[in-house]
Amino acid sequence: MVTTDNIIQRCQDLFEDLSFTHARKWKDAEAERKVIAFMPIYVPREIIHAANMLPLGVLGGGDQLEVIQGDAYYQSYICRIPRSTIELILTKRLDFIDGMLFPSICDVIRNLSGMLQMIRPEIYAHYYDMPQNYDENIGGEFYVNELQELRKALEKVGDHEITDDAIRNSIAVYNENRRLIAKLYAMRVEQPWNIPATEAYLLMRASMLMPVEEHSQILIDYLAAAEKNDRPRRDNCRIVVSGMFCEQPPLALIKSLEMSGCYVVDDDFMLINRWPTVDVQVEGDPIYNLSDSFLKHSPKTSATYEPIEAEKGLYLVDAVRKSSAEGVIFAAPSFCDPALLERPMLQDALNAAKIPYTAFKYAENSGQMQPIREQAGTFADSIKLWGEQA
Amino acid sequence: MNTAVASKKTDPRDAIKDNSMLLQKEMIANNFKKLANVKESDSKVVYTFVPGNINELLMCFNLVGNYPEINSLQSGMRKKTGPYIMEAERNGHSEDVCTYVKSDIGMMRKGNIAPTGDPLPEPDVLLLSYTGCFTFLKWFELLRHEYNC
Repeated sequence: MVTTDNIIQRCQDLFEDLSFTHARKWKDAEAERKVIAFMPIYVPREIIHAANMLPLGVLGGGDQLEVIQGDAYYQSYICRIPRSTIELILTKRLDFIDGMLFPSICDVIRNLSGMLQMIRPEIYAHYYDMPQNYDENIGGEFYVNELQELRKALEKVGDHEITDDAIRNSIAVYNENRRLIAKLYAMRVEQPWNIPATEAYLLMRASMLMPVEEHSQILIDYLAAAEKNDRPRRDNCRIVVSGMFCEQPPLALIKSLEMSGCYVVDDDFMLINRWPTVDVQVEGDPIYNLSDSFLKHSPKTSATYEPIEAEKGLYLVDAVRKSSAEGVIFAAPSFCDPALLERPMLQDALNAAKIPYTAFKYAENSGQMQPIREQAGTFADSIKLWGEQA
Repeated sequence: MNTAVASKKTDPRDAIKDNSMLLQKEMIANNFKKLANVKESDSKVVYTFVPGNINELLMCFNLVGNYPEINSLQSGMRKKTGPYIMEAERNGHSEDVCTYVKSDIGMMRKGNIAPTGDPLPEPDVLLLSYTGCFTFLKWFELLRHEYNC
């Protein structure tokens, strides 16, 4: 019988495997298969999938990778994810990839694309530039060209055409996956005690490491198994976590939040899994449809520009309202420009909406969880024992 | 073997400066003067950044530019940034992000006095042009947030 425990154990095994064995096996199964790695926060996986390639999410090395060579590439005031990514490359853990995409999330990730070009000049490295202008005639035109450029580059890598029909098929497959993920998140809002944050997190991480069809089946199995679970409901504080969209927290940190008395009811762990926020139109020009959904239905994040000041930070207030959360925990990686520069504006939006919050920083290899547990626990207590609802 | 070490103290002002250095100094000083006298000259003020700016166009509209990163640099050279950075951090800015941003935000919150000691005029226009540095994008949002516009 498939249980949530079986599924989560499998996801955890994948998560801990820094040799990416599952992706390697997928590639080895057929001679023409290719693997295209990508970094947070978003790339159009549909085009990679349509090229019969595996989009492989590389989210750093976590807390199990000893970074030695990677540190030599960066100054002390740079976050850890590029260091551990360089380490993964230099230690040949990523020697099987055929290309890598670096989305325009911040200066560090952008420049990492140049590092890969120097270290592995024989593979395809692409700085994937997403528009900050969401006007169809400006950012839209730019983005259609960017998508076409990616398509042509992947055709060259794979040495075959990527047809419109293939992209349409991939859009449909990813639409289904996003719907299942939306269902999982909705179920967690309803019953956070039955969908622990660590389990939701590992399910999301699994999507980075396997074909989307396989991941969708895992979600179907997990949702069915989770409905049968009857875990104890505790009087925990419902919180939204914000700031974890690029360099990922150690799993122990997420576990610590739960142990401190918090139910995580929304997060920004892997935004790509919920991007765009609605189905992409399948019929019609698939490149235009991908661009259009990006312009109109992208989730708002710290890495994107908000053109209207009055709306700044409201996405977080909305996330709190929609998930019936009682507070926000800002948890951002040290030296993360997007998350940390955004935070004062988000805090002001929360202050205006009278939503309590607390903040701390981490690195993907943070080891001491006791201070975080104490801070999150005190925050939860302040709401549950002394807040307005207490 | 003995090594002779020059012990004579030199005055930094005696160092030879290139003409371009002198011109740059003069241009920056003139710009601060323009900003201080903006009411008298009936000009408008634009806050924008140095890289990727469109100064030629702005000058056609009689807009005087105020450049946040120059303010931070000039404040830094005059050893004024410490209290500014602390002011920004008191208001929620993290200790490990760009101190140019925090120096600028802190300076605004502490009265917006230019590094030269003159009060800086409020902006009539905030302008973000593509700069190639992600921090500028957030810096602009933070300026807009401060002025609520």
